Amino acid sequence: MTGPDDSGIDGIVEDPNGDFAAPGTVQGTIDRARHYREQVLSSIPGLLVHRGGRVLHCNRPAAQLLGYATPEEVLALPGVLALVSEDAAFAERQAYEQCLAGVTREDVRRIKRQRADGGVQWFDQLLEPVDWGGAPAVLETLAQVRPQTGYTQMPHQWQLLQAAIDAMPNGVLMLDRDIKMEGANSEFLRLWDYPPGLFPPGTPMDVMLTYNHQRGDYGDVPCGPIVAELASRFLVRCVINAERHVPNGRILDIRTAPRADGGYVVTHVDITDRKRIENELREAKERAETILKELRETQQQLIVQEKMASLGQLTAGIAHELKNPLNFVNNFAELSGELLDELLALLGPLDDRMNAADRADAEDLTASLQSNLRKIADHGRRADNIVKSMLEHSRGGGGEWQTADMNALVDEALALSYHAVRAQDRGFNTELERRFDPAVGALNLVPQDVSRVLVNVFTNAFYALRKRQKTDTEPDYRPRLTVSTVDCGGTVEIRIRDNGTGMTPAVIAKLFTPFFTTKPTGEGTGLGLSLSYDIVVHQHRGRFDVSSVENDHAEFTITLPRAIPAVSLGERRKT
Amino acid sequence: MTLGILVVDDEPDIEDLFRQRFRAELRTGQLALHFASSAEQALECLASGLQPEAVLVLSDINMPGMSGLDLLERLRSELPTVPVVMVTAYGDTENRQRALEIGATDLVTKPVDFAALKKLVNSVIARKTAA
Repeated sequence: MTGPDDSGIDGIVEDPNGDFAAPGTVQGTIDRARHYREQVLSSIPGLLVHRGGRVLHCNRPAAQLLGYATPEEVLALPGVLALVSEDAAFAERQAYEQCLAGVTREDVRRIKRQRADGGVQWFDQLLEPVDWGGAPAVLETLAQVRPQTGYTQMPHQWQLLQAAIDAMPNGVLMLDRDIKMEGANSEFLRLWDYPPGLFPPGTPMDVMLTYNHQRGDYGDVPCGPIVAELASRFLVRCVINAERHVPNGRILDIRTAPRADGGYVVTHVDITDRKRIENELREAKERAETILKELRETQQQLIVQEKMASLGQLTAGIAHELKNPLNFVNNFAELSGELLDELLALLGPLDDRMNAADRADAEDLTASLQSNLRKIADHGRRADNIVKSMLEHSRGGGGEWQTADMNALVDEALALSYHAVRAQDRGFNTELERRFDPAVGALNLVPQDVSRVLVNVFTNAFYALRKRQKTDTEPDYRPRLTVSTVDCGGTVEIRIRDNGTGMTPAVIAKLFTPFFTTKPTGEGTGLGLSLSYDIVVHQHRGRFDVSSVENDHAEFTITLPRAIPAVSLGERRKT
Repeated sequence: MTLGILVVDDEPDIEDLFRQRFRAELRTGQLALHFASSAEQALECLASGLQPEAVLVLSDINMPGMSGLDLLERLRSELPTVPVVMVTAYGDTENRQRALEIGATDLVTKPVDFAALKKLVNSVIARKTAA
């Protein structure tokens, strides 16, 4: 049974392998119809519709071009980026996002896609924004790379060369001796994001560079000089002449190799990943170094804290042991005085029997004895006071954690210390400057102990001011104490600066050591700052910093954290 | 009448100190002092009966062997009527609180202020005789 339609199709569809059933039979008709469909399909470009990476539609040619048996297999992929090799993912994502945002590119992109079998294939791509199911989507058209008209007229060997450089993993640009383009491969087009066909062979280099400038590669700079400068780089031989960031986010390593005929082969290696890894490594190294530095600092702090803690324990032990002998020294000294008085009372009636000289001697001796006993008692009491402050030092504050207004606390301590020093020396006067930051507000702390620290530091400052005032030869010296509080977010700073005698580095080094004092014997126990350090650093987890220039100033900075860990190291020190 | 006081301390010089400090009271026969160099010895003394009977015990806390606080605990259960005053170098609130919790009448810190101690002894004895 033959009809006009059948013969018409038979005329179009050739039987390439002689596989079809005989023409004129039903089967033969069906075979031919199928074959014709295959032919039509092969000439239709692949179409993909996707949004946010999710593939919404894939036509049969697209599946075939990408090496998949059915469009369903493509739809089943985790996303459209599964088709993109990793080194191209960034550029593709950017292109998709732009398209989704409604930007239509007029030109074709030369891209590569990963096939189902893992191979890489070059395509020419068009991206268009479309409406898909009421929302914007990306319509991606993929076509197999066709030989350009220019290339088809090239001699066979040129075509072979083109195929060879297209297969290379790096971008290749051939320039002749006049710096005109002779050829380029697909990778070159992809790396630079040049539409295929934009630069036919014979395009001068500066045209390409001007194109780059126009699309904004070089930023907002005058065109002439930058193009001239870049073009001159191609004349430098055998060196890494550029490391370029291109607009699609990639970093290229560009090298020029001269050819015997005076032309150049310029290779472009994509070093984005290497750079990224290098950056990551550098960042990791920096992070590790920062952590190491922090660890070292913490270690240092711990060592100091531990040292101070064991010193405190030792101090407590010594103090307790000293209390017993002191008990005897003080009591026996006092008692001996009483006994001596009683003895003198007993001997009183005998005074008359002695001659005047002996009586004078005896009175002298008893007076010396009594004065000695008083001295023993006095020094005993002094020792007792030292022991008391040692114990106070080791015990830490028995005060309670409370929320207290920092500025009020500082002001109160300042007033207290100033009155105390004025009570000692009526003639002393100093300029006081308060710079209180109202943002400091209330802090959780042991007010009793922090107040002790502040009084301590203020008292020392007044001492230094008095000392300089007394010894200073310059008549225009004006003592001045500046107290400032600063809110630093997570911490609060209290700065106490005096323009007194200051300290030498040697003194600063020993400043927080128990029993270290620069005051004359009997005036200081050398425990004040040691105790203050304990309170600030151990109890309140703060910092205690000192800076000073001798005969210029001394500045103490106390930093207290707003949030303090519940268990502080200092608590272990309870005796 | 002579009132006995038992002083418990591991320091031997404490005897001289107390005898001299209370020499007036001792001379007049108002007081009699007994000494024990450890808590164990103190318990022995009290068990064997002291003449005159101790109406007040003054005890150190830190002693080798049984501590003053242990002694205090024993005395609270064995001789609940005899007041015990602790004498110690450890005058911190923690020790004070513990001693008072266990049942000490008072706590005196070293170096001992004998004027205050005498007042305390007198008040304890006055309370004791009044009762």
